[in-house]
Amino acid sequence: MSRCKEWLKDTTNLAYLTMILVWLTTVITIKGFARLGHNVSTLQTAALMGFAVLGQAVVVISGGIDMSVSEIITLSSVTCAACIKAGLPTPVAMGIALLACMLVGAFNATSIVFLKVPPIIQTVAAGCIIEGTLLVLTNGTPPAGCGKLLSWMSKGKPLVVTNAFWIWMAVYAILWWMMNRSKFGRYVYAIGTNVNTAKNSGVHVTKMNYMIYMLSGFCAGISGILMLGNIGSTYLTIGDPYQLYSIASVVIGGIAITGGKGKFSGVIAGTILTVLIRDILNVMSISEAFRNIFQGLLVLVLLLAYGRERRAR
Amino acid sequence: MNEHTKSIASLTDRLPNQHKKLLSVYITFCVFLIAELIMDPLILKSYSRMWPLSLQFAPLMLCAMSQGCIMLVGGINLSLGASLSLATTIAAVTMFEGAGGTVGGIVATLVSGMAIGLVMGTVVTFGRLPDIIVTLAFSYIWNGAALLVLSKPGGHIPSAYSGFLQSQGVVPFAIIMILLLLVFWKIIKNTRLGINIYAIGGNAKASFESGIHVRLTKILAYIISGLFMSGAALVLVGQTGCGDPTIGNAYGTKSIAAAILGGFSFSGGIGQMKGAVLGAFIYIAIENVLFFSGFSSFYQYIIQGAILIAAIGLKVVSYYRRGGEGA
Repeated sequence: MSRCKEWLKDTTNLAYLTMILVWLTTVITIKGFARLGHNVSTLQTAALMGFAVLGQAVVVISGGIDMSVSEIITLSSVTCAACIKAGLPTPVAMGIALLACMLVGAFNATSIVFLKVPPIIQTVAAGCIIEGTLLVLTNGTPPAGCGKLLSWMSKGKPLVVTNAFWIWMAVYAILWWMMNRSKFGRYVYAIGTNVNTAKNSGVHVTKMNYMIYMLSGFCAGISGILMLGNIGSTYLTIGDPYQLYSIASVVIGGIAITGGKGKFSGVIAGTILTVLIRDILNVMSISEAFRNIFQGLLVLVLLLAYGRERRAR
Repeated sequence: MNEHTKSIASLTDRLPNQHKKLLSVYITFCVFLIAELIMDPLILKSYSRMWPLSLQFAPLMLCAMSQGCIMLVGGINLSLGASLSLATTIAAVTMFEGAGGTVGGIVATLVSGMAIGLVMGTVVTFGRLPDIIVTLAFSYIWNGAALLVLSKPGGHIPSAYSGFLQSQGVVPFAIIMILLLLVFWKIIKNTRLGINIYAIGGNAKASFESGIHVRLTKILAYIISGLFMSGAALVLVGQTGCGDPTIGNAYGTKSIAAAILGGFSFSGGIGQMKGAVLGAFIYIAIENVLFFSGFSSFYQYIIQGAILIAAIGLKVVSYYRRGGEGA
């Protein structure tokens, strides 16, 4: 019994358990949720935003936050579409888009490290700058361009679920290894727990910040490219919902928003659970007003449940 | 130090301490005031130009004051835009024709603004959660609530109220309102509450050890911030003549930028309300300068971001130059 209690105390286990329970409930109670096709599309939605969540999780564990993921997603999908339209081969277009996203990450890290701008403000500001730049460059209507290869990479289904899902799993596996089995992960947790201690024990905090924010930009970039492949075109607000979703998924996955705590493996459960909850809200066909309120309340309740700071006094 | 060196001490040393801290803000303000006058020389020719100008500047000034209040206690309010929208919809629904209806609506808006602050302050303090993430979550809740009150721009603002805001008296009403709120803040600042607000922003733990009720002070700061925010909403509804569930979106990031330009610090405990007012002026003047130079409105997002980074970055860079260690 005590072992069971101990197992439940781990927020990651709790997240996976909740995910399975919520999924079972929807399968039993909502018509159509048991179909394979529906579950495949749920996993596809989860995978598309899942990349951004992976990056966000690393940033949050390091004690920061990346509010620019939504704009980075837009940036990558618009850049990729523009490059494909200009006649570049798809892999080159993807490379350019990802490079642009990593540049944004490097910009974030530069301000955070050298100008000491708080991460929240830096990433909000970077988001504003990207949004404005895209508006100026595209004049409000982004170019449409998407090759067959990109569509196949995103929604082709040679192995039961879509390719995007398998790519998500692959990226997750690499990041899981980095976070749990390499020096990188140990340093990220060290910085998230206490920057000064980490610095004094020899962690190269500047280098780590560059890696962390560029990784987040890279991951959000993959999200953007595959979203372009999924719908075949893009628009300037394609990334907007994912600012809250990415943070919510990280929190739901059991990672403490204050940094340094929580297992990286929780992100998968967090992402799928977020998509399931969104689907349930959609099925209930409630108004946008209540959907907004519910999403906000959900994040708050989850934060209160396991994101609280230790009682300092 | 002998008498001679004392007498040639720089001008800045003779200024009272609180003005010395704002010196860079004053200088920037003067620069942009002159820029504004060059672009819009009508201000000097006809006094009546003051009324539309005051209505353009007032909402952001009040928003910056609201944001500044939270930044003083070491937080940041990401939901300011959404709660501003909510307050305008509440004003549009609660105001009725006639003196009683108008005053009733104003009181209802101010009270709901303070209630918004109370709710957020309570969750932040008793939930022991970081301000950033709580206000981010609340921004969705207030957005939804604003849509519940009014699903599209509408409601009714008494024409007498809008007329009163725009009527040409001796001094524009919006300016009087800001001056009144500045006096209100000045009074609060000199009470124990004001000192406590600055203290917990500086060091919450030390304040607690010296017997300050940290939670209560923080909640009160959130309530005052809500009051300033609903003041901005009242000016906005007088201007637009309706409540709008999306009007506040533009003010969220801008208020943070304006507060930083006005000398507020993210670490808390640093900043003055008159700085926030000047910061908001500087922010809008920058936008005006760009508008007059023929840039498209798309550039405003880029400027928002650039101002945010530059305002903090410059402070840190100048700190390094003076030989400071870290920020």
